[in-house]
Amino acid sequence: MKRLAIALLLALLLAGVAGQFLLPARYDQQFRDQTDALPGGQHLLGTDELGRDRAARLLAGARVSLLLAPAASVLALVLAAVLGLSAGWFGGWWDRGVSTLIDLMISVPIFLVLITARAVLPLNVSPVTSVMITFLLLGLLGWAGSARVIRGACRTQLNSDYILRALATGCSRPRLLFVHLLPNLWPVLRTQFIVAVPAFILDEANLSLLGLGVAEPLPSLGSLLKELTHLPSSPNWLGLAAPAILLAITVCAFEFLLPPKEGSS
Amino acid sequence: MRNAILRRILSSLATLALTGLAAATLLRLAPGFDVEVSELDGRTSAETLRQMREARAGEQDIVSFYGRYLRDALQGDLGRSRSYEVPVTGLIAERLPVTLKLIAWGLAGAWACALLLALANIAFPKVELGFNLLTAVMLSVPAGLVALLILMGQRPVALGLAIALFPKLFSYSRGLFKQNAATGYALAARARGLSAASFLSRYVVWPASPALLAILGLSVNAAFGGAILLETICDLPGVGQLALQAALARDLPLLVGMTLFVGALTVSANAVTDLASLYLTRGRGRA
Amino acid sequence: MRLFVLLWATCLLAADPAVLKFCLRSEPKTFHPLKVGDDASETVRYLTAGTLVKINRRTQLPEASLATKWKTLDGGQTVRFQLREGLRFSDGTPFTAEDVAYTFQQVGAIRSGFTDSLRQGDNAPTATVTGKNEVTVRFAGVTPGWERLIDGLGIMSAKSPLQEKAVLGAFMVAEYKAGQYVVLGRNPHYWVRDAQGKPLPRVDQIRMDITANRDLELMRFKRGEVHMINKVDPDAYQTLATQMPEAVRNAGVSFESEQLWFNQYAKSPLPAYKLEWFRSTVFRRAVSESIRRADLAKIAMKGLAVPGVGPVSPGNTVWFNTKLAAHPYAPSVALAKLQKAGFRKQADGLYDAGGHRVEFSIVTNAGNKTRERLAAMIQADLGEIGIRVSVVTLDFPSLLERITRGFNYEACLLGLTNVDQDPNGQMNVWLSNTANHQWNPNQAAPETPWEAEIDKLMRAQARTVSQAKRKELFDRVQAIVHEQAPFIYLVHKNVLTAIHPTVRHSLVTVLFPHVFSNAEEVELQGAGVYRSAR
Repeated sequence: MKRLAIALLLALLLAGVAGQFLLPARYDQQFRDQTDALPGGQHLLGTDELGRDRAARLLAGARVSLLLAPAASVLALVLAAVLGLSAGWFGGWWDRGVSTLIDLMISVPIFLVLITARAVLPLNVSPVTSVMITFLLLGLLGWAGSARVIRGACRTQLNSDYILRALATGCSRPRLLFVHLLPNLWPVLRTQFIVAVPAFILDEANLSLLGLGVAEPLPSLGSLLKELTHLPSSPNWLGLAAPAILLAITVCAFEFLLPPKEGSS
Repeated sequence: MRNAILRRILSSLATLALTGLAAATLLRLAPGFDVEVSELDGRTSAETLRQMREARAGEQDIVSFYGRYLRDALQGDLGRSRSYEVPVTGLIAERLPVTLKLIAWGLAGAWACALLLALANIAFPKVELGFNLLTAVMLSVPAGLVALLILMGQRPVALGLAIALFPKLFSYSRGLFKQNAATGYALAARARGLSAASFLSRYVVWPASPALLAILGLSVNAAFGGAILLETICDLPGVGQLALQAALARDLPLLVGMTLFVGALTVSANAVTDLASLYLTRGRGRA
Repeated sequence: MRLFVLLWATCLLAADPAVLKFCLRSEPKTFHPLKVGDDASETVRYLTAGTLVKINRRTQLPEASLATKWKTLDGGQTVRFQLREGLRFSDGTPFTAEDVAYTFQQVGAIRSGFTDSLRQGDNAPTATVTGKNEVTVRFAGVTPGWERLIDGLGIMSAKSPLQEKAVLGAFMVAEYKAGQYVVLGRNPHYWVRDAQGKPLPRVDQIRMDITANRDLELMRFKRGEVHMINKVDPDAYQTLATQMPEAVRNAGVSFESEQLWFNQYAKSPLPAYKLEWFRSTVFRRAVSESIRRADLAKIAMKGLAVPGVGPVSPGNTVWFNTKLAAHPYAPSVALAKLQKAGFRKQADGLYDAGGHRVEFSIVTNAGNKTRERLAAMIQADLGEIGIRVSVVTLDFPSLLERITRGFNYEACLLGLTNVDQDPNGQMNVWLSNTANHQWNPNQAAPETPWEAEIDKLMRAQARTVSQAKRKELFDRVQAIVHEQAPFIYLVHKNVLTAIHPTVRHSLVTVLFPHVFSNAEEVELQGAGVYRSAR
């Protein structure tokens, strides 16, 4: 199962990188006499409203999102783990400070943070840079929820019998952290990661509304997924649903790639 | 215990005040704070423009604005909305029931499904693959599409919220349950031939309850976030829709009032779940 | 049992008013007739306010309303109105000449885009009661086309305790829930009758739900929960045309345009070399001539638009300069001109004389699909002559901040709406010293000879009474704008509307409001059958 997942992810990555050589059209080429074409013939998944090849856009978008969303998730998760664990571990004023910060991050309208960030960043950046910035922002802002969960889980673990027993037997603190605590928090981290990847991919699409998403003409999975909302009125359901199918496959693959520690026996 | 509660309440209040200040500052810093669309009206003369811009002068210094605002807020006055020109408290009172109902149903539905299915997954590990596929698909569909489908099918919006919240809650609770089911105690208990029901309740659900409570608090926040999107797309006149409109219109009194009010709700939800979780772990420690 | 039937019938009689429903895309900012600036407020004003003279939306000509006749004096600066007798405001207060005088007094006291349109410089018009039912209005200067300005002036009551809420129009505001809806009720004292002598309006209520969500509006229209859509997006129009062909109405080319302009503001934070490109007519024309306007109209607007020509759309038959046509698509000519001006085309793109790569960003408002598509197509078109364009969508306040405060943008794609068919309505766009002279606002003195000439022409036409002479002057303005391209006009949209088949006597007009200009006359099929006779 795990091998299959790795193979799938590698295949996706490869297709994303090599896609531009496999397909007849570039992702930004506008076939203006073939707009909204149905799948078939020259265009495997049809074309979008500007006549761009949906298959080429899907592969290009997948390359962007599938490379960067996991990276952003890892960034967010590292931040969350450091803050959440340390809060749970040290307790006291540090815990209160971190908890306040988490509460603040969760309650403040992030929308405004992003608008303000947009104002600070220059307008004239290349599409690739804009993608990087977007996912960096997502990683830097998206840790609060996970941090709270990790902190909670950490506290539960610290109060659990086996830790108490380990402490009683004179287990050193670093050993306690790395041998007992972290491995037991692994399922929580894993869940957070798997939930964060698609969430970030979708968030990126919404950020383009604020001028912070992937810039034209570069596609991303998120911006392609947004087109799903035209599904009810479009005959090209395959072309529109393909990004969602691809994303679902990816998320599944991650599920298998990061198995729960003890297995499900 | 009483000390802990007191401390928790105080820190919650401090967090709340900070949140309000952060929201006010952000809105003040956000581009377009003192611009109005009517300025683009080609008929407007320079003098009228000048007077329009002057009208917003009172909100320029954010610290003094916020000081005044908090003082009034303590007396129950959340100010007057700039964009709607009505008192903020009235607007919130008008719209809060809509959102509370939405969130209550949405959360109840999502939690019920998440817990039941997570337990089903533990009890029948063979269906795991199916559940993985289900959550993967649900995570991959934008909430906007869910909202639109709900709208087209004329289904209750709370169903949309439940669908949006479900996959995360399911993943979390299943993760926790699995972890508990795999501890040495649990395995030993199972080997002793404990009935499935008491095994699940005593070794899987009960130990997970503090962590689940922490997530419950978090899910209230997430539900408010989801309400913004669903209310906006499905045009449900609740506080979520109002919050987004306040941010878009750079309506300082309304946004700060909303942040404080919704913040108070979520912070107290979090405090309650935290305290409950504290109580549970303490209780267990003594046992 | 009989009692039950009786009850049921009474319920029907009492509780089934004919309600005309449509949506407002934004919150009405005000119900005060003199402060109106946005579309939503203007909608309410149009439906509730009574005016001295009214522009017939069908014929586009002025006709008598509260004033039965009028006479122009002083070579066009003064107008004497004879008022209709025996009218009452919606609350029963009698309508007198004092009310008109009071309304003009308020025009002088209140500053808004609308009252500014009646001002000249800082001087507002004044009105004096000169006889029983007679008012003499003195404008601040000669005011050609005053009828269209007066068409927007809702007469207020000087005496009514309800102040501006007492109205003379067909409807009055009955209920308003901020952010949710506005309900207009029938004005019981409305004076206009239909051809059969029956009182108007024919519907009991108008319910306007406030929603910016166009998908939702369309969905509710298809279900029959909304009767009209005033502006349908090209995409939605196309969908609707296949699903409900009897409901869509295309009234032809509108007065509106989508346009692109470069930031030429000297104090903007742009690097000097970029400002130099943007200030060069050759550069602007080259950009304009490298855009395939036919494609923009066909693809981005789904064929429901015509290529953009200039400040006046061909739909505005009275003022359009028929000698002008859209800039031709001629990228090789454009490139040749650019090269003559010192630009160099290399393998990887276009460079200016100083060796700077020619690239700029276009900002536009987020969430507007047609604008996003226009921008993406322009990006591809300009890419062909080696210009690298990045497209940035911003939420509207952020965009406004950039184009009106910080001037930190390079090019902007937006549609500036012409509320008015008359050039005087755009005075503050064309004069170089105004804030709405978007490409280079607030100039102390005109920075270019052609802007100086536009200033002169615009002021001259505003002082001229003869329509033919004014047209000649404004034709020249259009020709200069066409030549210099400070605004690069992309497309003129069609007036696309939808009216549900159950709405009878409906009328679609090119002038705003497109679908409910005759709201008082429309009737709803099926509704009103049980309505109690008045």
